[in-house]
Amino acid sequence: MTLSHRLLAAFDRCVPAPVADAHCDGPCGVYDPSSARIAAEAVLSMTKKIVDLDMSADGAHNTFSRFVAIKEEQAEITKRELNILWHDYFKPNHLEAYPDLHTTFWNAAKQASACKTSVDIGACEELMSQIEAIHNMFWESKGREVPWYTAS
Amino acid sequence: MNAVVELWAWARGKRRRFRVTGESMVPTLTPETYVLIDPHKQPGAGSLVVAVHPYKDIEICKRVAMIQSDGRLELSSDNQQVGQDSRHFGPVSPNAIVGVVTHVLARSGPSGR
Repeated sequence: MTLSHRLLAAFDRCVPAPVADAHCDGPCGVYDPSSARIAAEAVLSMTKKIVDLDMSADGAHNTFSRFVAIKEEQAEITKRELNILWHDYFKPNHLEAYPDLHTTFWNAAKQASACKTSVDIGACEELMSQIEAIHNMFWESKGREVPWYTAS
Repeated sequence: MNAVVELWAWARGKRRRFRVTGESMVPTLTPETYVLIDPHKQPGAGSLVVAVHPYKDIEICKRVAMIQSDGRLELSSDNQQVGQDSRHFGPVSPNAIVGVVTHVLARSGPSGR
């Protein structure tokens, strides 16, 4: 720290200067739709497990409760990850290239909510296809070819 | 010489002192840099300015990237990887400009050495 800065800092403690904010919301700048994809895959997986669960088996009610809790938690994570991409990564200038950007994210977030409140494999598969569309849009906006893949 | 003129202007109340926080103007302005602004100077393209954020109750330090034909200003961050600017909140009205940075009083950090 220079002497002039020390003097000003001392002066500032007596007569504080107003702050001109040059902060940022997302300093890391690391984004990847795979975070949303992994959470959505978990929702799909738990939904399938709920459908296949034998409710007459020992401890089935406990297992059922766990599956539902995890499904709902992962659906919330899916929505959060989608929102981070939507609000933080995509910028107004992306709208020129992707005029349906807002609708795409809005529908995907609503689909994640539908998967959270229902036990519907078809709804989960629709959510996956919506996230695939976002994956393609995202990587195209970065000028990179990243093939869509799933973990399961 | 410019420093003397600016300090004299500050002493006569013709300048306002601001403390810049955050990293969106790095490397031009490192966090905790003190600047003087001229509240009456008209900003041009490339000017460093202090402006009122269009949606938050804060004042921000940015660079004027462009002045549109309708007079509104597009503000940009020198550190575009992290900064929030007109790419996020759109162009701002000329009335939002608090002043133009005319002098860096003292920097903090490596780029000031």
